[in-house]
Amino acid sequence: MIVLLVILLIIAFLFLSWIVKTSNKFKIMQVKIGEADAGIGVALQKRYDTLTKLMQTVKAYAKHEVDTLTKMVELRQGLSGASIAEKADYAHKLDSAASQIQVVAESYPELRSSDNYRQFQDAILDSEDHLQAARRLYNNNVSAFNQAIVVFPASIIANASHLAPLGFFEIEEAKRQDVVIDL
Amino acid sequence: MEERKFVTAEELEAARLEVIRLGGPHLKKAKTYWWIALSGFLGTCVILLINAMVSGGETNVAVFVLAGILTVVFIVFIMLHGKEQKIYMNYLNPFNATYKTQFLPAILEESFEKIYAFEPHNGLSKEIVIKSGIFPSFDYITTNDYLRASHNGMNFEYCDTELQERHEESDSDGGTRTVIDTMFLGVFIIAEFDHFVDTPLYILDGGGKGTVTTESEIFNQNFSVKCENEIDALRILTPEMMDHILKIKEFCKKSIDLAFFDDKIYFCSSLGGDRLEIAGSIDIPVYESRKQVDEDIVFIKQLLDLLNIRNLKSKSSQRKLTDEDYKGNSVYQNEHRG
Repeated sequence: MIVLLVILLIIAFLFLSWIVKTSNKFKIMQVKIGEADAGIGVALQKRYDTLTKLMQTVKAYAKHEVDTLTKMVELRQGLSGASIAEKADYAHKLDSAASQIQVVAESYPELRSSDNYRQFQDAILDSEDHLQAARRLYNNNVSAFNQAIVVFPASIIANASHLAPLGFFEIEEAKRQDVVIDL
Repeated sequence: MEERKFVTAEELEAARLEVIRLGGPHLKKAKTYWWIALSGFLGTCVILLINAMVSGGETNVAVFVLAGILTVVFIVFIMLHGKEQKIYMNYLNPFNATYKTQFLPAILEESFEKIYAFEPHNGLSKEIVIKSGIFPSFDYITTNDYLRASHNGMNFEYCDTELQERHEESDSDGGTRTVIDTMFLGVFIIAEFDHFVDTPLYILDGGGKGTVTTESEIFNQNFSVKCENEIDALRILTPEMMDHILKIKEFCKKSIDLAFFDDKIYFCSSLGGDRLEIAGSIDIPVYESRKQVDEDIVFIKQLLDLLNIRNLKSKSSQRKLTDEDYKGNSVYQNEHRG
């Protein structure tokens, strides 16, 4: 009887350990996703800051167009509370604005040849790289999390904790091309 | 590179024939003396062994006299061998020195854009290899054939490197003995790379031990990525860059490790052996040896082309590139062939 009790206690201990371990694993993954999400916020902020600086330079040549673009990319509520879909949407707006700025600049050779403009162009591309890396990191973490919560038997804990697959940070190519800004 | 007198292949071949003509008889003698000395030594051993087995440990003066004579033969001929060998080396060493200092530099100058330094007997310092962060610890370093040059617009440093570590091993008697193991034997290259992020990045052969996981399963299986900032790591490790690093590993067919920091790529691959060496035997004509050296140089240049990834790292740099920038790159040439 005592032997059976000991065996049951060991099994219960192992089961509880597994629950704690799996639950902690999910929590760590969620923390990593949160960090990656914050990383996207930082990258978006950097891209916004660079773009607004570039717009200030371009504004001297094309005030009306730049004003329109400035309104489009304006950070109305900030990025801290935004969902990943909202961030993706915003990233897509910034991308479009960056492209439009380039189109506007095409009409002003003097602007294009200025050192200031070229430096900002480099900074814009750098911020794009940064955002891409942040996006990939976020998606890697989400992918690992989504896989982990559907694999049996960890899926039992995931279901009990009401964990659901998370959406990726993606800017659809079609959506990118939809944007037509009337300048 | 300082001005120096180069020798042509014909001149080196003449020098080789001279070594054979003047040094050859001494080498032949040295070999003969070596065999006689060896026979004396083995003869002594055999005689003493037979005596021990036949006489049951009793002293046999004749046997000992014979063994003594053979020992004297061994000593005399081993000394003669050493003397002849030394005379031969006196002919061979200048030839080898001429090859390394006056013939090989000429080949290197023909093969690379610009040679800043070539030091056959030197290499990278222990401090630099440690600084690369690829090898956390080692006890001994041997490097040679240090080459600092430029290839397709990229400055680089190259050298053959051997790293060894010392450790204690217990033997069957319960004692300990010191063992020296080679932990790396291959090439070490430092090439230019505009490191546009702040954090050092290490890509080490063998997966599963890194701090950064990429989206490429095959890359994760092949390499462990270590970096304090995951976003910085992924900024360098774009999908194109990961494919490219796998391509480098495929090219080397051996383990490779890379470190990115201080605007440089530190690369090493355990390719073994020595490159840029003249053939092992003096009997091989210079033009035959030259073929091997040329093959080594082609290999090094192809490897450098693959390491010329300064412009693969980011979109910003890619956009600045034109076809002109790529024309010297063999990877580009292969991809655009046909």
